[in-house]
Amino acid sequence: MPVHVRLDYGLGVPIFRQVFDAVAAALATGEIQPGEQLPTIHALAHELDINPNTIVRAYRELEHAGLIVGERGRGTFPAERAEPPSDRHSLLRQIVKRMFRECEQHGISQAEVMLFLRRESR
Amino acid sequence: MSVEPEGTRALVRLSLATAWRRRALWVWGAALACTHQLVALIFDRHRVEPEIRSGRSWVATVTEAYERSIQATTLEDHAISVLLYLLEVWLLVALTRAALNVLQGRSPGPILSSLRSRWKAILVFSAVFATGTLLFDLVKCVSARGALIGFLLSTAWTFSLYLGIPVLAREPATGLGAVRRAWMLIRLGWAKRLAGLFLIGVLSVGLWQALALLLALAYQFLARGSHEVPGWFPLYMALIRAPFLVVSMFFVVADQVFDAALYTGLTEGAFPELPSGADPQAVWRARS
Repeated sequence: MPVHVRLDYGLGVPIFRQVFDAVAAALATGEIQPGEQLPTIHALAHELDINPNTIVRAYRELEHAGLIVGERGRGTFPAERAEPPSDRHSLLRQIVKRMFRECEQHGISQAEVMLFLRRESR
Repeated sequence: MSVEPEGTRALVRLSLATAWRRRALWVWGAALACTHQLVALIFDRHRVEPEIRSGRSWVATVTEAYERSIQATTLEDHAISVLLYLLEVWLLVALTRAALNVLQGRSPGPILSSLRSRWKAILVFSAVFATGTLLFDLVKCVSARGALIGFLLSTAWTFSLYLGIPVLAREPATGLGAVRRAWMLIRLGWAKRLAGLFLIGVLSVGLWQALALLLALAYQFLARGSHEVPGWFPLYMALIRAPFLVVSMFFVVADQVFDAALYTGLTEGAFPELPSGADPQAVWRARS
């Protein structure tokens, strides 16, 4: 499964938000490659021992943020179909990872960064 | 991003429908109902009925009977009741784990193996719960005002720890961690929990009253209106415990499913839906 989610119940952050953050981070760092299918609702719900509706809500929010897209009969995929990663991509991945780390140190979540970048790039 | 709104009535409907359809949960409900009966039997042994005397208010009459009942309760009774509290908390955690599985669209079990590693947390949580309850019971013995204050504190204490049960069933929290999480969750969902408790309570009391009326009419019919106590009366009284136990078991399950659903909504940010609702995967695909 390309998404690794570690749930923290003590954070006080809703679980759907934690799933949203994890998928957004996996998309940003290239853990989920363009064209790669995201886990199904049931598979992810079963793995995380949570309600399937929670995954539906996280995917819905990710879709609203323009990060993923559901394709009828095929599954859920990253929103932008990019070319296979090259050296430039791996360099960019390192930079983005560094940026995320620094943002986290300042208490800014990966999802917030993603939404900010999307707004700014319009 | 916040918790999606969900009406308390929808959660109560979900609880009743799930409790009715998933009979596998009834095993745990039956065990809990029997434990409640045992606790009631222990304390009912010493119950003193109020003596009605002229010139005395009903408050004074009831208070005196209550104080005499408390004084008659022995230390052994309290010790046994503490052990039963431990058993009750364990059974509640088991039932809630099963309810959480059902709400996730899975089968209820296996419960015993999944709770094997949780015994220490359950023990600590039960000890904290029982200590608070005993302390408030002591307050009740002080005076008539103390009885009222003790009752209010004891009720608030039990209410504040309700959501610790799903925490123990789901999260890897310690016993004290579960107490802290329960307080955190009840701050978010106290209104829904209170409304749910009230709605399920009203339904439960209504059904109890209807059942009591039906059984009283059945007794009148069998006794053919005679004022003499018939020889089969003790057997009749023993037999009518069964339907009350079934009603009690059903509402225990419904109440715990409500807690599990409320906990899911407060923790995950999305509430579970009725078992007859469409498959979440299909809903997601259909809208894409």
